[in-house]
Amino acid sequence: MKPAFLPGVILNKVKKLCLFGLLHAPASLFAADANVVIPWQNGATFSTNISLYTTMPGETKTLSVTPQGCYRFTAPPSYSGSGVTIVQTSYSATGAGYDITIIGPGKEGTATVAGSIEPDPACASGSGGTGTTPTQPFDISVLQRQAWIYFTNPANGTNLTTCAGCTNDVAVKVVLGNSTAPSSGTASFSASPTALGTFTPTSVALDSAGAGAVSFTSTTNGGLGTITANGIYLADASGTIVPDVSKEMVANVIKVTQIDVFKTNTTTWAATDKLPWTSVILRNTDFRFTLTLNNQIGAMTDFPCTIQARTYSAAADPEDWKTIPLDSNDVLHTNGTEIRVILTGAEVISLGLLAATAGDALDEFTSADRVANAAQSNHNDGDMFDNDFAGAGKKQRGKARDDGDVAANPPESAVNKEFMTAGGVRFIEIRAGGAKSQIRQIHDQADWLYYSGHGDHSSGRLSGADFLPADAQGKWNQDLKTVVFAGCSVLDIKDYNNRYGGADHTASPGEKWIGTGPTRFFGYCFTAPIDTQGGDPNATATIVHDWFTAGRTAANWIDANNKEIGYNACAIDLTTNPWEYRYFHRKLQLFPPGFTYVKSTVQYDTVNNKWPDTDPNF
Amino acid sequence: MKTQTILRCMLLLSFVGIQNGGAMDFVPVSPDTLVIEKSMSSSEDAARELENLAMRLSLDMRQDVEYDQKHVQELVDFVERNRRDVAGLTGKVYLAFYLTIVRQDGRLQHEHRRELEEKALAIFASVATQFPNTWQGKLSSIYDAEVLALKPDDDKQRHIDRARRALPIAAMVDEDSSFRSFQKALGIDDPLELSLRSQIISGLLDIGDPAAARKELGVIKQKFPQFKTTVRLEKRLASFNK
Repeated sequence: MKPAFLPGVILNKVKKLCLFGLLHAPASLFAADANVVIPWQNGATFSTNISLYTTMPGETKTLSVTPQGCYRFTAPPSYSGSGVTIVQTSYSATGAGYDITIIGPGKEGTATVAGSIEPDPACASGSGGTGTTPTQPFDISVLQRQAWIYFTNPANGTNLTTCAGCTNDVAVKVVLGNSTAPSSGTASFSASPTALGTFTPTSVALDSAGAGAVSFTSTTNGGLGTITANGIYLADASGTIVPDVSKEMVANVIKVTQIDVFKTNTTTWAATDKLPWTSVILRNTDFRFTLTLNNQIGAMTDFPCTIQARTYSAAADPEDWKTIPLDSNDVLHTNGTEIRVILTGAEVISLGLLAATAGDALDEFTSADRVANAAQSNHNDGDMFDNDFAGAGKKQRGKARDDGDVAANPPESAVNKEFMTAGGVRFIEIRAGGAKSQIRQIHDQADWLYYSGHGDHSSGRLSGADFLPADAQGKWNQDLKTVVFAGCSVLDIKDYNNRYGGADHTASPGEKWIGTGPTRFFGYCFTAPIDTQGGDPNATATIVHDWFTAGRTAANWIDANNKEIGYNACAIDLTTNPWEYRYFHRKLQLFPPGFTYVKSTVQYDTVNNKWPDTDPNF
Repeated sequence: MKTQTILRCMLLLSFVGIQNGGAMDFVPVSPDTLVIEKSMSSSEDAARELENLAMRLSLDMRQDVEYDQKHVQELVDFVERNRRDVAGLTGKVYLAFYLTIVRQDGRLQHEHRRELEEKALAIFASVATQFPNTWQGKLSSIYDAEVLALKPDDDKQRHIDRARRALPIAAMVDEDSSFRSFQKALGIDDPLELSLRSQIISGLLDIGDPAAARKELGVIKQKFPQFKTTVRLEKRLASFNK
């Protein structure tokens, strides 16, 4: 549709008002591209229709209608609009013309301008004032058909916030002023800076609805920039070329620069609250971590990345990532660049990061081996324990060696109170937005625990891990069934061999472990053998291996120790009725001279609810 | 697996200090310097003193077997002070016995153990030679290098044979009240013969000869019916039969 002629007026001076902050149409959109000569007659009235093309809904533009030469309107012209609202904003009887403001509805409309003109007396020397008939009394600027482009994905007016390395659909739509789609055209896309990402394809032909969609894949760099969509090669239904249109939006490519896990026993988020490798996230406690972002986001819901976590026990385990949804427990820190996530113990389970019940059906093992004196001790026994169990197809639940080494393969936990409290761990790691956390330990109690380190008789303390029987209360009742304390004296009951004086004689530390959860405790009632006893680096490893291959019972433990270095072995078996305490009874003999050791089994006195004060067998 | 107490570590350091000091001969011990007169009297005071000394040492040994200079010196002093008393002779046997025990101190090096063993055997030999008709001499006669080397994991048959050879002597010394007092001071309840026969039964079971073990048990039940060891052996054999 072309605009109708408007006698005696010039339509020009288009002004637009941007209602959308990011919508900047080029000035050329509204430039007149033709002047039309209108026949003129002095004193004549005129009435003509103008086809007007507005741009965006709600957008306004102002046109000036001014008589040409030394003529003026005899009276303010009248205006009426159809489809558009026209408001007269000014009138000058001196030839300055008048302005009208057209409030566009976003579609095509028509306006009728009617009135009369006469020579302008103020223009005394002008030819018009003398009634000279101008040959070209009126010019009319024909408004070119316009178009606009807007994003439909993300929705118009919305910034694109995406995750580094992720692919998003980006779509635009081009609409002509009359609300029709262009008959043809192309949408092309670009990002600034270019390092922000790439489009696939970079341009696409508009469909019949004027829509075009591409994929935007951000680089892993992250960053802040713009995405520009251009509507090019546009034409209307009649094939008339429509000028290019363009639209920008802000692109915020979020990259997670760091993920930190925090301690569970505090609610603060200071650097000192970060969870060290040597700590363990216990079952039914909060799992807390932060995501540090490269750019600010306005709200947590703007966070575009997927947060995932997985737990595993061995590097060869298949990767099983669980998606962590953000919820009301989680907050966007006030600086907008840090998300603080709290997974409750229940959420950890419901997400499948830990089994619903601690007492699973798997046969799992773990070991903790501390070498206090490298000249006498080694890890051969702990390693033997691990190898034997792994070789039998049992599942490992972490291994602790000395002060720990996260870089070891597999990672080594520290032999400390936290590891012993857990009684077995898996590894947990988080990933989001191109970042991955360091691995940390999460509670997954094993069925079999082997501890190798010093022990203290008076308290039953596993001094190599600073772990007391009281520390196991309420913690070792999840899955542990058998523990081996390859350390001195902590399983002694009643000192049947009279090897302690003073308060130690009645300390009976083995009794302190009863009731913590496991039903079988294997260890020593006096000094334990040294790992390298007799110059054999596998002295204790052999005991472990013999016990394992024999069947791993209490009797097997005693039998595996039935040699000179192992006579201080003992075993508490709560699976029998009544309970049993096995040890080697020691007594002096003349032939051959020395101490003799005889296997003895003492049964719990269920009548008096105590272990006998002396061994009834001797 | 690791040893336990700081105290133990301190003792070890002390011991290392002694070792580094030179010869292993912590306390000079020699049969030549521990001469017992042939004509002996019998003093109750000396006997009581030895009994107390033996009880104290056995109490110390119950904790762990460790060579203790002070203990050895006490025994040497006792023997030297009572060389004309039966208690001196008993003390000399006890000193040799004590050396055979402390040679099992896990901290000792092999050559040091052998040195202690040689000294003990020399003392046993001198007592057995010089006082063959006393329980001290008879008891000493059963000890030789092979007996001292016997260990539970060694050749079971050899162990059985050596125990059998010692049975007649054991039966003789068991009848002596002075020997029983000596055993009591050491905290040993079973007669020597019962101890030997018990070891024979264990050895027979270990080599898979329960019939012979049952036969041996029959002897024990007849001669030592009231002892817990007898009851325990009965249970063990009954369990073995199952």
